[in-house]
Amino acid sequence: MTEHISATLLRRYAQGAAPIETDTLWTVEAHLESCANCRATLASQYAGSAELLDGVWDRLNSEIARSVPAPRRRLRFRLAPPALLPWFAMSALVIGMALAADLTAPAALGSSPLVVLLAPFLPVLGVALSWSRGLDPAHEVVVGTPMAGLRLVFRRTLAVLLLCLPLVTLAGWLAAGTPVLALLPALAFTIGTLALGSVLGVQRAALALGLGWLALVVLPSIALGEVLLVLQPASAIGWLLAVLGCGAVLLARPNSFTQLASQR
Amino acid sequence: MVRAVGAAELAPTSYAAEVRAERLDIRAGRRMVIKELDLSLSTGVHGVLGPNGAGKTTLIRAMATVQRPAGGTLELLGEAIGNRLDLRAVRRQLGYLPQEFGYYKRFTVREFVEYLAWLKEVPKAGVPDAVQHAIERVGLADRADDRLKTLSGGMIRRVGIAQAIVNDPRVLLLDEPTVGLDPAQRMSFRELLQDLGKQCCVVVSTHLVEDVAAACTEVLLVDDGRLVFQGTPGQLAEAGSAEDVGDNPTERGYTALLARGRSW
Repeated sequence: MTEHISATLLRRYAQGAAPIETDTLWTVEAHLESCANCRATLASQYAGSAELLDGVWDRLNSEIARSVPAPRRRLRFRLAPPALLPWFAMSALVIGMALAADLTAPAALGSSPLVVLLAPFLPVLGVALSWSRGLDPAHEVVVGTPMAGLRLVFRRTLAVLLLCLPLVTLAGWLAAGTPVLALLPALAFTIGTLALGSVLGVQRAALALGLGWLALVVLPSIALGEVLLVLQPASAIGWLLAVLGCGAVLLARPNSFTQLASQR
Repeated sequence: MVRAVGAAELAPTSYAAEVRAERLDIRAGRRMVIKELDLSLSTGVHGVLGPNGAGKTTLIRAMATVQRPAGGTLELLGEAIGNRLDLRAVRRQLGYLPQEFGYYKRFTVREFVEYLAWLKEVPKAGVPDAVQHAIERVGLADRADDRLKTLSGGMIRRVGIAQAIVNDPRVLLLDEPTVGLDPAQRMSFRELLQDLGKQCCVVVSTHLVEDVAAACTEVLLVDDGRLVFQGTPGQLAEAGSAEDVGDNPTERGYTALLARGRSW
């Protein structure tokens, strides 16, 4: 096999008059693509090729100029599923109303500020929304992808925390005078939802923790009309330990959320 | 134009069949839906036929690694799933369109398919091309930048097919893909199926007998969780006789085999 295309074949190719067999044609074109020498011969020897090429370039350039560049890709959804948008609006509304109530009538219930009592509910709901079959419309498609599992759950939880924690912390600060009283329980309940969720499923874990907080903290606070020990600044260290403990549980179970559900 | 062939495409496979099941049991709720099913599927289009409630969807969900088998073995691309912890490598090669395809209404077609491409770990540089190609293959190029909530039911179904094929899967699972498609769309979908079936193992569940006859290389008939028949559409047609119920040979074969299976 010769290395370059013979002059005869090149002439036939350029003129396009005598048909070349398909396999030969492919060989010629594949060779021309990779061989500058033969391209130069083709271009220099045959009159009209320069005009032809100029015409092609003109048309191509005008088409490129006319085409719209691809729009910049929206990356924000990689972090959060869209189901979180209404949740965020609701969270802002709820926390705003609680704050307004706390500021207009401080300690109306004689207990902790409403903001502090409500704080853990919001991120827990957010986590449930971002990783459960009933609440994420595309869940069935998403769980079958390689990204599914702890990595995706972490990302989505991070989005929940980024959206929710500043809101909760600020409101807690304004209402209770210290940011940690709303922040730490909210954080602990979020991580706790994941830790418990790696065993029970996120939706059930969120429900269990939400009801637990309601029964053990919210209702007693209101009924007794006093600030429970767990909501006093002194228990901050306890909450911090809870956050770290739940985090450790999660890290010890790196394959949770990828294991298959045995049933729907 | 010479197509670039990647190393992954040339790598020899270590399995005989893309999907292999042995004495597979799958439970949905309390009911055992798939019972001791043996199956071996390789490249081609495999149509899963059967009456409602026969276990088609459950079978496909197990193949999509969304549901854990209760017993027996299920191998995808030579890897036994079930108690396997790391499913990522297998999931990268899967495409799945669930029967109830949930989606994010606010996303455009392109954004949604792109999001799924990202979840399926398509290499970043290849995402725009893969997305465009998938959208063109289902004939939605002119609606690529419209929001999903503006699309009709048939178009949503096609978006579902586009997201399933965006990662060039080796195993493509489509659960009732033709629901909501008009006759012309179904024709072009059959062409797409035949095209896809040349390179990968396509499993299509349907209750429409004519889809199977037209587009599949093989028919699997499932009734009450068991495989009643496996053969070509021609063999399915031959199984029926003039006395059986149905408008065409394939339908008569279908009813004949179902009746025979039940009398055993």
